[in-house]
Amino acid sequence: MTALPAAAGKKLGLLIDLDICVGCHACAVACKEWNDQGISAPLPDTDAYGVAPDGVWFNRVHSFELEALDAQPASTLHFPRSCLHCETPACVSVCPTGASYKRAEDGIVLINPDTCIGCKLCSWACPYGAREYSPSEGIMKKCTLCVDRIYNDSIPEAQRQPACVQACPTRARGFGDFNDPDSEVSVRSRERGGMALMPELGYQPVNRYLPPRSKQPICAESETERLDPAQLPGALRWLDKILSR
Amino acid sequence: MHPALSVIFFSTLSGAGYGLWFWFGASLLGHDRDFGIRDYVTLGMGALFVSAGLLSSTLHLGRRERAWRAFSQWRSSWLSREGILAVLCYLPALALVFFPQHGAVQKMLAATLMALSMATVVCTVMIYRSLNTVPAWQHVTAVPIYLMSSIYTGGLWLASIYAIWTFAPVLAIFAMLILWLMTRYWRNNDLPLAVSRSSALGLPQERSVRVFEHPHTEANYITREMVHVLARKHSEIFRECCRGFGFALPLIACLGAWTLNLPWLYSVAAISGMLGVFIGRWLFFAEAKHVVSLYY
Repeated sequence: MTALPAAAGKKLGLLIDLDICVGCHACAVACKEWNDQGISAPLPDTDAYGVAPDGVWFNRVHSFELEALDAQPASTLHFPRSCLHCETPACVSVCPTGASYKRAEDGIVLINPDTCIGCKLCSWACPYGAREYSPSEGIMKKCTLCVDRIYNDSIPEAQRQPACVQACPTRARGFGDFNDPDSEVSVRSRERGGMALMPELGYQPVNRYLPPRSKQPICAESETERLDPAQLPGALRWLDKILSR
Repeated sequence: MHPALSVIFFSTLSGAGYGLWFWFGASLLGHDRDFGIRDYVTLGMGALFVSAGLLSSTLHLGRRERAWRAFSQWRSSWLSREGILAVLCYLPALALVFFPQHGAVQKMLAATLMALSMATVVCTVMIYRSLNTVPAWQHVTAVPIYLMSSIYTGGLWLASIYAIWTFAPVLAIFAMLILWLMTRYWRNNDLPLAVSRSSALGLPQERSVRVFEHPHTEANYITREMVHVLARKHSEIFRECCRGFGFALPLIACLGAWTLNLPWLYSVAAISGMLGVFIGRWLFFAEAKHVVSLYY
């Protein structure tokens, strides 16, 4: 049924720190590796070793260039993009078959592979590019928040988190319940001003992105360099004095 | 957006079929008559257009054998509603075959056929109108354009079948109204997206952002499906073709049919009108910008 659940018990989601993400794509690769074998399998590739490799991915890492602004220097911004498990996901309500659904107990948005007809309308309804079409099965695929890991009793407890979170070498990714105000993700999001993406579209995404921190300010280009000799150690102050004659 | 030919064929062809059924119902309401050969041809031609369109739309599906499941979610999904109404439409059309004598039953079926036909077209356009992710489709002209194009192309076919001289001015008015609506739609379509790249990335508006590196070396499903540039590059030529074939040529042909007493010119008008509406529909998809293009 594509009706949305009244209120989710939990609001499981990801917290992504854009300040420390280095754009290594480990999350994307780990995601592909796990989900190509788990309940979402297969995530097919076409022409994987040819001239135009192509395939289904749940997680894609973009890199952007931020121009300098006032005292802020130019910088790169690595931006992992995956399903945000929205509270009012349009991808679910446009589904004509009820294959797309949002779970009441934890808010995870999933696709039933047995009833999806592959009409692709959900991918059109998603502003975050989170749904992709699998040409080999003729159905849609999406991030499951590793639902087959996070509740999996057969793996060690420390590993019961999404593959992307586990793989991140800089710990830029967090996973938890955004409905619980004391959970680690809620606290970090609150402290650092976690952002929702494109909130004006009204889909109420659950995942939060922590904005890049302010960088060391730089001098404006027109300004000439200045040296305060009083700050220098004695020997260098003497050198400056000699050379300035 | 990727202009899927199967879907564009569907909405153009079925649109004409539903328009034809709409006019046919209207003519039965306005004019008491027992069915002649032309009435059966009209009913059949409407069915042919609608069925060909619906079959074409299933080509778009990854799993055609599961298409029946699309009838289940009418409470939330416009696509589901459209599927149900499209099937319901056949009922009065089929029933009319068994009521060739004029009378209350025939009139009731005709009215039902008209209502269901138009409701189906409204559902078709609402599938797109309801997507916040493609701002161009939100425009107020989208629904009237679909509805009136359907009535217009259906009317052109009706005029060809019955060779009705007096129909030309009605079609001319429709053509001019649709042209005006489409001009407004296109003007709105050319505006930049209201959502900015900064908002897509959660950055402050004043921060200027450029793409540094794509997440992959080749195109992917998202760029192929949502980021389509060709139509926007050549949009003026396509729009001229749409105006010319869809409206200017049919207007001249209708005028010729009317004044020179050459009914076959109505068929020329109908075929040209369909071609123009097809190009317009192709542009509706191909020119529309999806917000996910902000990432790329």
